[in-house]
Amino acid sequence: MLIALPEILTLALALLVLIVDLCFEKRVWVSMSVSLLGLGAILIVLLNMADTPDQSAFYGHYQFDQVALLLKASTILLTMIAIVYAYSYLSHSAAFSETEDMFRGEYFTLIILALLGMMVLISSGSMITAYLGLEMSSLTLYGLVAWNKRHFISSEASVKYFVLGSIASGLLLYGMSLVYGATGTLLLNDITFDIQQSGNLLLFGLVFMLVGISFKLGVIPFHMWLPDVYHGAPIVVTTFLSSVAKVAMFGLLFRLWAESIEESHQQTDMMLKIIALGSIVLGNVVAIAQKNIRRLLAYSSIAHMGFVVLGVLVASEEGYSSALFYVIIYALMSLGVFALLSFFLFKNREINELEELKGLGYRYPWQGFLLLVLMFSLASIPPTAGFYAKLLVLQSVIGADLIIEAVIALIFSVIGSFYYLRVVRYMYFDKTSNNEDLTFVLSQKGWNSTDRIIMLILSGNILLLILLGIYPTPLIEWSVAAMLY
Amino acid sequence: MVELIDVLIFSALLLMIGIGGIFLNRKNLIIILLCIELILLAVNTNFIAFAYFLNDLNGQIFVFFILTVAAAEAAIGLAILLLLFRNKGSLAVDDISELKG
Repeated sequence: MLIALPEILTLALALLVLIVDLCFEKRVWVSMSVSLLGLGAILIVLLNMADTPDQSAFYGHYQFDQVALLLKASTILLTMIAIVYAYSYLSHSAAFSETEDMFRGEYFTLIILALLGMMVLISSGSMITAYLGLEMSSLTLYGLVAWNKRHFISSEASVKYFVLGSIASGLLLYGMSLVYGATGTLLLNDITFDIQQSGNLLLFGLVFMLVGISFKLGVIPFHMWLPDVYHGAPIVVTTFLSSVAKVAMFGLLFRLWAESIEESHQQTDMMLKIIALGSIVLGNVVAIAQKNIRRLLAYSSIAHMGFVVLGVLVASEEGYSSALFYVIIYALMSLGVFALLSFFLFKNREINELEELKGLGYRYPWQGFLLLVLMFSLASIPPTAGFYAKLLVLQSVIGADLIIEAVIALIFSVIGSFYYLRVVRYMYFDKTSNNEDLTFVLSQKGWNSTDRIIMLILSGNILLLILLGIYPTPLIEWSVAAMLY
Repeated sequence: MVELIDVLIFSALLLMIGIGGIFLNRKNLIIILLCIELILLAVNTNFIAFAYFLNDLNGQIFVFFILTVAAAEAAIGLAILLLLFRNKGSLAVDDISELKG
């Protein structure tokens, strides 16, 4: 059986959507349905490969294993959900102020191409495929961030993302070239990162590689693009960027870093430790000062990614599987919160400031409740899945005798719950003004069946977080089994 | 005779010129595109030098991929700059400061 079949089908689907878009230019929903159906079929093909043993193809440049399967299945599923959420925002976008009509068929082609890049990245067996996958997803994302063509903020965010992203790719490549020089191979499985033996050249290359990886993950000290891009991009693109891309970037960290370095080493451990704890501290503290909810969520994402790196730092099966579980749960939360915000308009434009959420809980009780659940989950309050994810990571960190690190992470995530709860305060405890400017996109022209289905999926996504908080065993078992394989 | 270390120093200098150019330049965004190309060329030099001295073709093959991706990257970068110029009417680095906080 072709083990690269999901990638091949994804490429074919991207081209198909492009042609379909050409034929049905005025009826964009056709391209959307084709891409959704295609992605569903690819997901089924992928899940049918669950019993395939680990193997590699293309002379070792592509590898298939259980981690790749789990990561790819979750990226495809999250992409499908993100496309459904994007529908209502994009199809109404012609009526918003500050935007033009963003409902064009190329959007789905670009999303699928970005997904293809991420899938290649997740399955990469050599530095060539890792780089190509990374660039394929980055280049399409640069374009997607500028999707709102007439709006200055969107193109400014895109320029910043492009320049900083290119520098990061350059540094990652420079690191790869040094690692290649020190080890003499490009295949990740052949690279034995024996730092004592290969000396400083390898360590030098690894530092550059870590710079590139941490940039793409969005952790300190290379996080500066994140708030700007989250703020400037159209909010549906932010939804995609903050959920699907994070799962894929965990794949990058896992392939290029975690899997290649067999034994933990003092110097590399120190770098990861600084990155992880620095992100948790900075993300949670700086988010308190934010008035813009999208920048707030960007800093919260920095803090959450810090936890993922903390799980990887432990460098045991337990640590990796907890990081894997964490990143999937985080992607679900992030998808839900940005999608929910994308359905609200303030004075007929996207939600930006925290104050614009005043009285939301009374005007829209159910949506307010969903946002409440999301905020509780992001703040890791039981019984939500966010709590369980953080618990697992901290458990593995304590299991590796890193007590001080666990205490710091815990203290700052408690500090972090302040700003999540502040969102809840704006929603429920600020009755000063009846916020007439706040409207809900889906109910603007009365509820039709598509809107109902989208709302149902969104509710399901968010209630899944409670369900996974009460009964997380299947997903945990899956991520543990993937790492043990 | 050119040794490996000479080529490495040359490519490190190229890399530093590239990164320095990005951070010191306050005038024009196009210069940033040039600097990104410089960084990628430094990487290519590195790969070719290692491939030559290790007697291994893989590094040179990687260079072809990097060249292709660099072309795509330049195309996308120029398109984004075009968009920015249409919306703002200027390509000065100091002018793109709307997003902050």
